[in-house]
Amino acid sequence: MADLYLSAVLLGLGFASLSIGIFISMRIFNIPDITTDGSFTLGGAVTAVMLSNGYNAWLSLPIVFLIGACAGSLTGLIHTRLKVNALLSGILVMTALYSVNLAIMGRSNIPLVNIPSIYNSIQLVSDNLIQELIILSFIVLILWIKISWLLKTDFGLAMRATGNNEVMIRALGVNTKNMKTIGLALANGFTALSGYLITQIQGYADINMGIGIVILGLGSVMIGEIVLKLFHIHSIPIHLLAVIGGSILFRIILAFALSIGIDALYLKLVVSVFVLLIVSIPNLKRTE
Amino acid sequence: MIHFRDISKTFGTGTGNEIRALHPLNLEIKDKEFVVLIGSNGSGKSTVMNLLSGALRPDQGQILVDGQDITTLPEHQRCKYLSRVFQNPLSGTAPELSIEENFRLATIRTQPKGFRIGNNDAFRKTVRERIASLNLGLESKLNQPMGSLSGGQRQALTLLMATMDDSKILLMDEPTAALDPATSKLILDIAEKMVQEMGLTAILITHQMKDVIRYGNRLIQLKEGKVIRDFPKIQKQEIQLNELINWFGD
Repeated sequence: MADLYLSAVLLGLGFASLSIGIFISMRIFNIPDITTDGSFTLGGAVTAVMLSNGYNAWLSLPIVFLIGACAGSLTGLIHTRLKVNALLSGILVMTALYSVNLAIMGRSNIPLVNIPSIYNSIQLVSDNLIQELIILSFIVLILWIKISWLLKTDFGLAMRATGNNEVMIRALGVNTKNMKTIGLALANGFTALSGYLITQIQGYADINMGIGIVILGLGSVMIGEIVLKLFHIHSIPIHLLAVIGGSILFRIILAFALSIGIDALYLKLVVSVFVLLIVSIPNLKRTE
Repeated sequence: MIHFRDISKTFGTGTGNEIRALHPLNLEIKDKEFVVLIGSNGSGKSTVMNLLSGALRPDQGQILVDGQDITTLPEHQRCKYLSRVFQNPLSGTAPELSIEENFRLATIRTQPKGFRIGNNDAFRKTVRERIASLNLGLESKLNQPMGSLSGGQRQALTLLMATMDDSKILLMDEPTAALDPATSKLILDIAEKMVQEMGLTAILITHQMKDVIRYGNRLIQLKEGKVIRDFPKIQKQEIQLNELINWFGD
């Protein structure tokens, strides 16, 4: 039983990177980015192929990130340069990625049995789950520190203003087309990184692992924001922390749903209904 | 110096409702002139402003700033020359960023936005002093999100932000249209003070005839895309309010 919840925390940490990606595209840039479903699988596919071909797991990390960022910048370019609606741009790239991912993997599933991963590269403790927990926490901590810092720099302020008031930031000398493209690249880099972490947790990459994954990120961001609203917090590092916490909480709630006997077949339905609840409850309370 | 040379702009070319916003406009604005631009709706005032800021491109003609041709320069690169205050008091600031963060972006308007944290203690101190000069009591609220302030407060800060980086030209397109009379006066007084203190060249579009008389040192009236009246300071001072209103019947 304890293991069930520990595994949920591990998945939550693994998906935290995805939630941060969604936070960047949706909250910072105000763009609903569906590329996520494809770039998550892309991250998993590249990871599985690299690891099973004997590449070092840590070395693969920046490569996976960069490839995810390429997918995101493609969506960004289609949206800003070809002036295609953001949602449609994402759908186009996501659809194309399905074929790309299949081509990369060569088949629909790659198991990673007895292959060195980041979780067993250095043996810190004997318990495997605790070992994974330490390494995932370390990676998520670095992510949190780096992105908190980025969003406070002049560049980060310009990023945030681009999603917040485009007219103003253009008058202040920012090329918002480039900025949005960079933002989507970052977001999908983090999403691919999430695919990388999850693939190594579950021990395989699957062509369908990304289906509906965008809702997980959305749900995590929103759970975090409900907490923030209660305390009236405006700080960016705490906001990010809430997103990470939301991702973990989301997984724990799913684990709970499974433990009380909900059929795994209905899991996506449960996720949808759950996200609907967290999105709509704050609106119902408002009397307008 | 700003120079519009044979500028023409037509909207909806080729459609049934073609509108010639400017045909051809020639206009020279000297350094440190504070031009008040008036005219009925559709006379081309905002088009002049948008052509200068780069939001619109002319069909023909050239726009020069200090002898440099900026006609085809994209909007985000023109910020080197000019800063803008918008009609909507909420347009000039980012609501979810704090006051301090908004000022940071305004301060590096003409510079690249790099990977360093610029709002340090020294910066905060400068901003606090500048904001205190407005006497609005906002200097203690640097960390508050801009969105928590009123439209008038935000417009006052927008004006101040416009002068944080060295700019030569200040464009104000009906900056007080959405504000009450007292706040309007406050905003325009601040604008006038800044234009004088910093030696800016400014263009103000307004429909408030009292403001036309009170502010600026040159008055230009546009009608159907052409300059029909152009008064320098001396003549502008002699204009009476009732006389001004009659102009719009022409």
